[in-house]
Amino acid sequence: MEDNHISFGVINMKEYAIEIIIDEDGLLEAETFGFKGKVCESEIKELLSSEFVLEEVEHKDEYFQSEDVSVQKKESIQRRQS
Amino acid sequence: MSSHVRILTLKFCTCDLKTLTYALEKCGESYELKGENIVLSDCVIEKLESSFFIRVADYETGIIKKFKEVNSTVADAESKLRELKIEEQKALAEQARINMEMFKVRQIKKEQDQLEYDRRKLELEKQDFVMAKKLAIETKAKAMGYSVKETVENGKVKLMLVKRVYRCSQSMLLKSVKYTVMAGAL
Repeated sequence: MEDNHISFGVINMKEYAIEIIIDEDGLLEAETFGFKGKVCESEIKELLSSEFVLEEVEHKDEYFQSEDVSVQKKESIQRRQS
Repeated sequence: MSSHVRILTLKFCTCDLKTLTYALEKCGESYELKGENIVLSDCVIEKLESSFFIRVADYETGIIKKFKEVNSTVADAESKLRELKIEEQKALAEQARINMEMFKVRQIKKEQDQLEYDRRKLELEKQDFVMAKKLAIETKAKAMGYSVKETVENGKVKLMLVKRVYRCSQSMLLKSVKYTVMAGAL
């Protein structure tokens, strides 16, 4: 998902994607595509915070680039300890 | 005329009536049971306390010979009985050992079955847990405007959430404002 910014004349279409992988033990990994800045983190938190506890966050190089560049972030989340 | 007779009391080497009668039959002797005594054709075997005896004059060598023959047979029979008892005890001990081994095998099998049952139960609980989490994420994602595509790879559930946002470009908006202003000036 490198180029997710498509222009239709006066209207721009932007695509945001989140890939989530849940293994057999309930361990979850999430990776975002197309987000800029810290919004990816807030988006992930909003999506998963009610069900999971964020255990480890790994920022890719793109995370520290300017907002014009697509930011990618990978997060590993472990299920909430009940 | 006087004579001296010595009476011999010969004791059989068994206290068991069945063994004694078995030895008599094997030696071809006919006998009759009278009370606790055994009457033979030419003598009587008496029971004194728990042992069997035969009283015989020392000149009655035929009877003495018969006693020796019967007693020898009794000894053989007793010996064989002892061997049989030892064999029987060995067989019983072996059977007990086999039973114990079978019991242990059944116990191990039972424990294995229980472990397998617990493992499957845990597996199902895990699956239920993953399904519940997946459904919760899907519901939340849809509420946030994402479309959800689900695939399964190597037993792992993969959810791809995609959201498309459409925006007007800022430069085009500015142009629209400019045209509006110009139109107002005219």
